[in-house]
Amino acid sequence: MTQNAESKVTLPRDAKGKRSVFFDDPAIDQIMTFILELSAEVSVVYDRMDTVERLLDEKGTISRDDIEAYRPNEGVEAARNGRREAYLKRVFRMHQESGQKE
Amino acid sequence: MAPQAHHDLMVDTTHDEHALQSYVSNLRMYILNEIGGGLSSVYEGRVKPAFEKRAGHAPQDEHDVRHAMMADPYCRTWSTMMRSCQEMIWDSIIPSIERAQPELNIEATRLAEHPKGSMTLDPNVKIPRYVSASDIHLMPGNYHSERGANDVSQGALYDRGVYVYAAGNGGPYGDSIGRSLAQHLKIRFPDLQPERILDVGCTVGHNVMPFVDVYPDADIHAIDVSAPVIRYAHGRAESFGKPMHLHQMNGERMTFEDESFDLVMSVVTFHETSHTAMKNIIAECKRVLKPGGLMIHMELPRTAEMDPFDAFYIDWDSYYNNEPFYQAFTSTDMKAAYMDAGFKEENYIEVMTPDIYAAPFDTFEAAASGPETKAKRYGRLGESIHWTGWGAWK
Repeated sequence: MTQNAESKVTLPRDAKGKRSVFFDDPAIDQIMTFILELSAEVSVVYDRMDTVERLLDEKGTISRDDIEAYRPNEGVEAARNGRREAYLKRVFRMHQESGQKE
Repeated sequence: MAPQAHHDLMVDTTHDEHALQSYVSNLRMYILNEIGGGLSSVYEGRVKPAFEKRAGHAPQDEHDVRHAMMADPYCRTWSTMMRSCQEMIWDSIIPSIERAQPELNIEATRLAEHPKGSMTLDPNVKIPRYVSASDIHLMPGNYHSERGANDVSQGALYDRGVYVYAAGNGGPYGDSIGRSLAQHLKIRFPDLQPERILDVGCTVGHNVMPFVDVYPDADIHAIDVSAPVIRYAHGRAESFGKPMHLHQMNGERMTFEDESFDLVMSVVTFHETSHTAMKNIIAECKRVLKPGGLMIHMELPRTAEMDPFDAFYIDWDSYYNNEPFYQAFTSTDMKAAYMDAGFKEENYIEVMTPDIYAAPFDTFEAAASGPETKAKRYGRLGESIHWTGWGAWK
């Protein structure tokens, strides 16, 4: 992310202290982080594509500035929330035999 | 996520940052509710029976439950997802705050120029170790880090972070606990007409600002040890047109006069201080309270009143979400702490209120007008959202 050159403010990215590890092999925790981050990237790309499609429907032709300036209204945000929830259910489906409620 | 109420210190996001924050919010709710919702059946279905077979008795306390649960793959998966998602909240916001500088600090300074309220900073306030030693909730830089004059970055990070964390469920102003408390007190104690109200540990003022609406004739004061959050709270309040008096001050050593407030309150402050600090703060609250005034602290539920599984669930954050004082706090007897500070037993009160945004108003009103309610399971565990508090009249 480009920073305002004038400000040169840099905020720390990591919290103090040792990062919790939950699995015997810490690589599993690391991989889970990768997967969650990837899932976020996919969702962001999907929203961006949705913006492009909606703007094209509306205007026929668009610029990058149109995309950057676009903010979902309440109805669009609700549709995207629903889409994200369904996406989460598909991607992060816990196996029944792990004990999740039927 | 419903939109956050706009004010002049809110940081602009790019299209994709907005999309990312929205997703992280959805993700957190999914992990918390959908995956987390399976934890109790994992416990009852296999973890508890295996423990009983091995130990010859049921798990005795939350520590037994924790050791057994944290060995289970379902709980480990949930835990590592919770931890990563918490980090992702802050990561989704930090770049936008960096980009907003230096205009953000300049805007905060501008908002403070013709105030309806006031701000008093005290560079002599030392950041206590319970704030400086740990980044609470994994928020990098915690409440107090400053990068040059007039910095409000940590206030901006906390304001947006809490909103994403709660998926907007705290209302557009993120004030659900404070607004529930203020409205509850107004209904329950109609004779309480405070002239001066104090909030101890206010951060960016989320939970004290509704007192301006509910008690419009009162002078509202709020303190915090951190200058960045006080500056941000002041700018935010001014931008909303809510007069509040913000002070950089340590609740353990307040500079207010004796008997100068009618109502002294806090919202989820104690579980982020040490036990010693909590005792000092209670003593100070008593000192600054007028005779006949009310002290009330909204906090996490007591684990002593819960079964071992619920206590394990509540205290998970203490171990894995940088909440070093959480577990010690949830096992503290608040009534005893108040008696130790010299409050009388007959003046002790408890608050258990439904969330003002989640409950129908007649339910909310009934809970405030009737006898003290006791929900069996509340907070994150209950069927509906309830907030709890412990108070005493002086």
